[in-house]
Amino acid sequence: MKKNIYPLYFTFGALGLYLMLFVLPGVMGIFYSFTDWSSYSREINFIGFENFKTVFSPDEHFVSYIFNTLQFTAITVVAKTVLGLIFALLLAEGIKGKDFHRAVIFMPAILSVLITGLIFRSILNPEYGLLNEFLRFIGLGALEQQWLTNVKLALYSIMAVDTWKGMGYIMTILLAGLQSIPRSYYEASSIDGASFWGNLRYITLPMLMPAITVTTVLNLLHGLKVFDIVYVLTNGGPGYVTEVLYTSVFKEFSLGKYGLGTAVSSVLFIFMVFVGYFVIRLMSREEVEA
Amino acid sequence: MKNKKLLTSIVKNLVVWLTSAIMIIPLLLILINSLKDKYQSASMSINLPKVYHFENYQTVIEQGKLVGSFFNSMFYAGSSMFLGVVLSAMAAYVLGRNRNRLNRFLYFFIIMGIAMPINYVSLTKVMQLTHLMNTMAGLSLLYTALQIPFSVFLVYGFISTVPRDLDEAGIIDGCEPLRLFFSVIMPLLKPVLVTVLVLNFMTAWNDFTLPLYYSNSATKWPMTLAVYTFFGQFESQWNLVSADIILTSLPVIIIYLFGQKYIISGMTAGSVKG
Amino acid sequence: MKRFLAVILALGLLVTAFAGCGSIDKTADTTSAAAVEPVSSAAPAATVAEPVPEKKDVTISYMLSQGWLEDSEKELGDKFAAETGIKVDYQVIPSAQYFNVLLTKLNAGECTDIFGSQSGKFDIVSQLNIEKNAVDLTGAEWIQRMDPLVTDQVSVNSKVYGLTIWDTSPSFPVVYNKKIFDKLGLSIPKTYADLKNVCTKILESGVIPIYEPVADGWHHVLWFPDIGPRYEELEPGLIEKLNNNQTKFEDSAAMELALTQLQEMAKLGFFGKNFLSATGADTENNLGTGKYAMALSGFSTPSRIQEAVPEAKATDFGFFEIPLADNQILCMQPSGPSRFIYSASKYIEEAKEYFTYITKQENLQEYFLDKDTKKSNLCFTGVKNKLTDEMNNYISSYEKKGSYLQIQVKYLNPQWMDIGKDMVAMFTGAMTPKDMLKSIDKRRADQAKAAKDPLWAQ
Repeated sequence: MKKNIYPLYFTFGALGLYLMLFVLPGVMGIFYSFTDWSSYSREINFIGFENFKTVFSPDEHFVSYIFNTLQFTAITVVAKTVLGLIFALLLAEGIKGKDFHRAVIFMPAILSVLITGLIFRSILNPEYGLLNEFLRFIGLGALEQQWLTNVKLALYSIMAVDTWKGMGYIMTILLAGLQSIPRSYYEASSIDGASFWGNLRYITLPMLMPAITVTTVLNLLHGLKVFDIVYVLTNGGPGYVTEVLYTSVFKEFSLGKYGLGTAVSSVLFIFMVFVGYFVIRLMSREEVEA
Repeated sequence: MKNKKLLTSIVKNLVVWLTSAIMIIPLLLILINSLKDKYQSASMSINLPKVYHFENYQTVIEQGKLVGSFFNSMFYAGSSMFLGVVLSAMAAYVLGRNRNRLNRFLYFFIIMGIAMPINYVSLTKVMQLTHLMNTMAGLSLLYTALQIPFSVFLVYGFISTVPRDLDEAGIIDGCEPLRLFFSVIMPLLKPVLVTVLVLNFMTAWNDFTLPLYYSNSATKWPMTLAVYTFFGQFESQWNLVSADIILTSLPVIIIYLFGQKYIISGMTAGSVKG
Repeated sequence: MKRFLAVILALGLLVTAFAGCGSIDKTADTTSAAAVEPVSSAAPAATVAEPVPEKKDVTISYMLSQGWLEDSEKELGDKFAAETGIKVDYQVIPSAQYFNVLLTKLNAGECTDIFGSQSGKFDIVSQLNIEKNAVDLTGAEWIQRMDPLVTDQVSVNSKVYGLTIWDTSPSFPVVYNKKIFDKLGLSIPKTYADLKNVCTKILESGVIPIYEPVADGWHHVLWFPDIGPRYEELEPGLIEKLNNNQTKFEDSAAMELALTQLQEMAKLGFFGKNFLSATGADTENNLGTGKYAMALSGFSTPSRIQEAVPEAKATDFGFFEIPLADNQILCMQPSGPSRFIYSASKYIEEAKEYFTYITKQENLQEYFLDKDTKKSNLCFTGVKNKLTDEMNNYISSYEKKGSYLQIQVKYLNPQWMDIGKDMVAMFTGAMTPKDMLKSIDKRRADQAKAAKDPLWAQ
């Protein structure tokens, strides 16, 4: 009976495309990561774990790229979640023009990363960029910075732009979560005389947990996979201080070292699948409990 | 007490307006500069143009070959969006309803793709094997494939909010599964499907790397890639670059504004309960 | 809707193919593909109602990096299309991505009919595998008119593979503002000590000495290899030893000296405060307004300054050679962006026709020299150059001439952008000049290993 209503062939389209254009190249990539495949030579030789040794060897910079990637991920996850939550709470109700604000705050999320990069390279330019102009205008010229070329600041500037772009998206998911909390909970607690913070701690946050888990997973994966925003803003520079794993994959590819490039991307893949599986299991368990 | 409430309200409004300003100023900056002349736009300041140069837009449309690339983008984003939604909804429906061992595995297998990186070089080989290289259909299918994991994830979460009784009633009425799905189930999924449509449209519209690698003909390039190359050629003319940015972003902004009211409800059931 | 159905159809076929239920039906495949591609690609087959019979209706694709295509060549391409029916589809790719895209496409066997790449007799073999990937053009009429030194850089085993149409004037002299120099009583620096003195005086007068667009990623690298002949002069035999893997960059005192001096210039503020975010597009403006006094830039810079800043005059600007490590040798460039025909192209004859057409004497003169403000001379005999007295003076004022390092040393040019990043790290203090040279050696060794170079085998 069930079989007739929910035939398996419904999944074939999605599964087929996904297998062919997504999984297959990924698996092939893992195979290539054990070879010395490069643009310089026609033959491809199996070289075992040689590429992976290179990735983790101390005289390469990959370890610092891994560190940058993790730092980027950790900070943007926290920043987007906290800011997203604050604005979701502010815009949930009782404020004039909330639809307008919601739309505006979400707006950066729909822009192309490339365009975001072009815009912010102009805004953050130390000489004529809008940000420094503004600081000079309000008399805070002393705070002027070389946002994207100062070694100490560049990575944080990228994180800030990424948060600018992604916060609205997170806010929208959390807003959705807030709206699914039954009003009766708050009515009951207001009879008990609970404060705003009490409500937040005992009702809102626990009820919002599934939504926060989702946003965390999305942010986590986004952070680990980060490439284009770094690429368009600094391309890993100045020097190598903002290099992340994916920009280094790209670099190896552009040097024609496909084997090593795929090895780095395979390391990332395995790590992400591990993290992804773990968190998704966590999410589905919560669903069972809820 | 009343004063305190008023104060909170003022602070709240201030914070929200300030944030909205931060979000919108970069876009305004581009809009303003798109109307300046070459020299005034060189410093990319937020001062209003001395003279409004609306003809910048015409220049960009001609120089950047935007008409052709607009239709290309429409094709890529449009076709992959529809195909992605239909395939993902069908898969998510069956996987979500009939949660046996195999289907649970398949679901996890598919959404694992959210985490998977793209390997451009080996993907090239696959594109060649399937004769999709350098075809518009190939790119469109590629975008569809890339969107499937997240779309399945969203729809799967939503499916549980649609009552099961309908499926069974439909079957008793003698509906074929396909007809049942398209005429009964799909309409009920509207909020989440609109969300998926909008997100997929945005992803495909905003991408520029795939056509760079998998299309050998500039006549098949989408608009975002056109901006990229346009910037390369007209780097010193920010007024034109700005106009190009505005024109390229406009379609996604319009689509977003249309789909906006569904997005929150789609997300509610789609991701939050996923 | 029709397109949508076609996609579904194509998808259906793919799914069947994937499931192994049968091979793809050839006829169905082509119909769906044709339906899906509305704009182009129907071109080769559907040429029935063409008035002139010998006119073809073909589009050849030509991929190149930004900055290599001038509007005048596009104009010439339109003329070519009008005369022959062969349209050229120019695909300009941003320079940061270009090489990666090119390699990926060559490696996948899916390149455009014509592709652009820098010439260089080592790199076209090790990087592009040119003997396999490009069509042998030996015997074409235009080769006789191309400068033999230039031809050498696109040849392998005495077969010519590429067409270079480029300005072979000295590569990148220092362009300086004569008015500023006169006002401060300065003369052309001939040693590093001179240069340092000149820059200090200029800086004290409130003008930033040198405009250096580091944000472009490639420009600041020029300082290092452009004085290649000087390294050889200080350390005779250096280049040969480098190519035979008998010595390393790391061990060259001359190179370390030049880099140390460059680093010092940055530290002393000779490039200004914000040079790391400066872009090349602003060069003319900054020189013209007198905000900066010098820049490493092409021969055509003075005339372009006049164009960008009307109150500045082209004649106010002169040239001198980079005096790092006390260099006094004029650097010539026998290489440049070149065009190659892809060996697996379906339109080899049409592409050759394009080469023949653009290299016609009158076309070279009009479209590559007269209408192109960036070039003052071409690497072809028989064209009338646009060299000014200023340029001729500059060229004749240096006795010795040589060509830059990346042409003479293997495995250097492909890592240009990486050297750029190292150099920025050096400017910010994250790397020492020695570190930078080591890093170059390491990448050379990696490439040599990947290319299975016997000299690097041990």
